[in-house]
Amino acid sequence: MSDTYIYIAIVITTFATYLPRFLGVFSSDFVNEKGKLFKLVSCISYGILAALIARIFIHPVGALEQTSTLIRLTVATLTIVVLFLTKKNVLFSSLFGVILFGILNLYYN
Amino acid sequence: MNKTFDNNFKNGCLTALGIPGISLAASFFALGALFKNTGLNATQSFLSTLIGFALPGQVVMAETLIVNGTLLNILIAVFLTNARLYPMTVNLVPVIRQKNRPRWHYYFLAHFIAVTSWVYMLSNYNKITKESRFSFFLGLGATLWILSTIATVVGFFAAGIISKKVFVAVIFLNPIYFMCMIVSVLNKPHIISTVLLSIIIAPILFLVTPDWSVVLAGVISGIISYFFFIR
Repeated sequence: MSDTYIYIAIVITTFATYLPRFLGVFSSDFVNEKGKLFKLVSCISYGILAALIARIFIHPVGALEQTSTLIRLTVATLTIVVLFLTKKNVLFSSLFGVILFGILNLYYN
Repeated sequence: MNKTFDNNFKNGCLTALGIPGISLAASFFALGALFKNTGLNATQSFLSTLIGFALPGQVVMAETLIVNGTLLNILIAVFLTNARLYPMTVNLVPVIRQKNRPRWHYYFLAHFIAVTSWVYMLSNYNKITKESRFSFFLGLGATLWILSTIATVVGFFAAGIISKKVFVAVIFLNPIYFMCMIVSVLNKPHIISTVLLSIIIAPILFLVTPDWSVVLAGVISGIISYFFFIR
């Protein structure tokens, strides 16, 4: 794999990444913050994000792929419990989740 | 630039330096290490985050390079992975839109729209006045982008130094943070329904069409919830 090939790949990746952002700005002209279309797009956006998170927890790629699904799902569940117990303290809950995951992954994986 | 703009921009920067920045930097740190293992050099790793700032797409690029995929493979795979940025941008721009602001400002700002900045802004925009949102988001997004670029380079040079178990735990911070952010803002029936449906549908669709599962699950769950709760 030559250096030039990698640079071209980076430029192509940049194009494929910016295109949906560009089209999004273009289409946003037709969307009003108070309108129904805004709510539909909100639903779809949150749906995609939830699907992305579910995918990372259940079918991850990269280094997380080598960790236990049971550990990932257990940590996710307990983190949500902690989130509600701490009155939705995102910082504390995120740190709790990552430390718990680190410990479980160290001893049981 | 006026003083109000400066203050809002500064507030956005300071917000990014908290948990949003830490969690995102952790993920880009891991990406830097992945790039090193893929065969990229430090300049290429730096450039990738600088101009193509969207982690899942960058991961897909690295993985396609590992299996000697063609440039067309990279184009299609990255576009499919980052297609989520389209509805996210359509959703965000009306929130930060200001009268009399030139259109190119939004096209420039679009580079900073990614999951972390989007989740934060959509969860908190009601607390920020309409006139302050653009500059706030610019501060937030630009700071996250700079942090991510630095973290990618640091991760590149740190690859192999940090133990694998610690490395994996660092990567896990980002999805955990996303999850906490989304769960913490679940207060409207149509959003709660969308998220729950999507979590159920996505893993099933993954078995049928891994590449399209995320986008399809989001679109299906979003449309169902919209028709059920809004229309």
